[in-house]
Amino acid sequence: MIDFYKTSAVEIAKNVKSGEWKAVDIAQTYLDRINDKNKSLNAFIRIYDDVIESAQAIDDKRNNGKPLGNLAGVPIGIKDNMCEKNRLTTACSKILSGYKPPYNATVIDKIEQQDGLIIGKTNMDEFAMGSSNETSFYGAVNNPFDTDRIPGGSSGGSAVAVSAGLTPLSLGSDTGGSIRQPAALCGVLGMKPTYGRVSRYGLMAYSSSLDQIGPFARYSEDAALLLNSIAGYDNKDSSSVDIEKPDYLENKITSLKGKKIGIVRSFMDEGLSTEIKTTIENNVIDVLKSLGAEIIEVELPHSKFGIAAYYLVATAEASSNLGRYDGIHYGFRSENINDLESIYVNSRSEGFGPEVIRRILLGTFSLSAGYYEEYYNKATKVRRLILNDYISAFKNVDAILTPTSPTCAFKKGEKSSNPIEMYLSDIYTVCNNLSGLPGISFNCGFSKEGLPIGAQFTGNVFEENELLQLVNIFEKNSSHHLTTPNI
Amino acid sequence: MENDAFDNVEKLSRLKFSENEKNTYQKSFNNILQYVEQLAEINTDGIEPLIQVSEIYNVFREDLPINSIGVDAALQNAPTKEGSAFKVPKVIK
Repeated sequence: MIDFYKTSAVEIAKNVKSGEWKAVDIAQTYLDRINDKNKSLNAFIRIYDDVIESAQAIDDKRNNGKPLGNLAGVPIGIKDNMCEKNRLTTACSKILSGYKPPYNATVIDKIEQQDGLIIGKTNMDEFAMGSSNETSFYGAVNNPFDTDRIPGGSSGGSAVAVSAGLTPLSLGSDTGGSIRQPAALCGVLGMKPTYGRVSRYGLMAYSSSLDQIGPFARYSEDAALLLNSIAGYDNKDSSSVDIEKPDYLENKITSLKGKKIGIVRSFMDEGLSTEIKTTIENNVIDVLKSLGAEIIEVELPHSKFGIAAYYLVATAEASSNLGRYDGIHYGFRSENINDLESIYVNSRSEGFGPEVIRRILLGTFSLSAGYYEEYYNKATKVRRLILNDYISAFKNVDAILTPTSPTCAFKKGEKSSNPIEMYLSDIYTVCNNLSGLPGISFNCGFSKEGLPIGAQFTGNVFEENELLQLVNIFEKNSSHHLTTPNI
Repeated sequence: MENDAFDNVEKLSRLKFSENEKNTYQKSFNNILQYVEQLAEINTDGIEPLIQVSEIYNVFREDLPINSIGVDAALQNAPTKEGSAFKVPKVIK
């Protein structure tokens, strides 16, 4: 019934809806797979013990004559920073040990309304701070294409879960590339929607003006299916945008005649692995041209400052957001306490990992008296210039094609001792977050060592559909996304 | 950054380090600071700060009573509690 790589989420939902397949059987099949493979990958940190009961409830609903939703019986993994009522949700941090949220994130409610089957929580960098999934309190995640290598981060667990066929769909969050970069490094599709497209209510905040939830999938249609369910206005998120959303599964294009695709010359030259460059030129640009697209060079002159601006904006917001972890309201409390101040200081110092601490320090500094103008405020002005570059570029093109990551998956520990080098992993992805624009990473080939190579389309605001259409037509004219890890 | 200034950031962050930790964090802090200082070379005269992109500044709703999560749920994760309150050590000496 199920081929872990070939069976799509669309196919599962269709067959469960019609009664051809039982949600219980699907669930058991994936649970067996996870049981067999997860130990060597560490993609899931928790699998719920009531998955079969939840699947049975979906089958019962259908047997009682009630229509099933669009995600009927589709197993879905959730990144450990999205709150699920009375289920452990820890952002893979010691400071949230034992935390069971008293409410659901909006995306969880929406998945449940469509009869999706949430099977457990996926591993991630602590508080979504990292590009290699090595900062998790629950240990590193292994790349299924080479288990000595990192899967990318911060949504490494969600990327690996789909890449290794442990689930057809998963959710991640993306603040500077945390969906797209691991998708690229694990050979799957990952999308960061436009800021405001998907509710952030119940997403543990890292950098509130940059964070956005999005799907991981093997196929663009599956990503569209999940985005259909989670996108839309939510009055519980004051940054949620109240505009109509299209049906992302409709309007599949068959030609790229008249489409203008921008490429950024400087992105293809400096600091990019030659292998990735030639793969994108030969496997993507040539295919787009053959389908009728016009390739136009565009310039994003301020994007080279993206990482610097990002690390000031993101850490400033993080230092404020993570102020809530006080050892009093929820989560970990130090045993070494004698007064109120020592609860704060010792719980935080013992509860946060090194990368989180580094970012709290930088953010606190850049917002502090005497430094605010020179650091935080300067970064927000550069952020405006980065956005302005995109506004100019989108006057001439429908989408922009870039690499997703400057390198393929690197070895574990390779960049752990050099934060700046690690931060530069996100050089092609952070500018989307700073400017709010949607981005999609998709597999476009493999290195000589057999490691996946990702390419990224960036779209104009709320043009998620354009991006899904582009990847959809690419999938029909190539087969890279069908190559799977040998695990 | 000098030691005094770094100590102040540590204090403002409500964090406390051993000497070893302090050396490590201060070193990486200075490296990152040096990296982000490249922004100084960009002319941003007359550029408005962009603090968020959705350009939504106020969201209002009718002032109607709605359900909230309730005291028990709000306290369910507290390390120490008493009755309907979070419990902390004595604050006023």
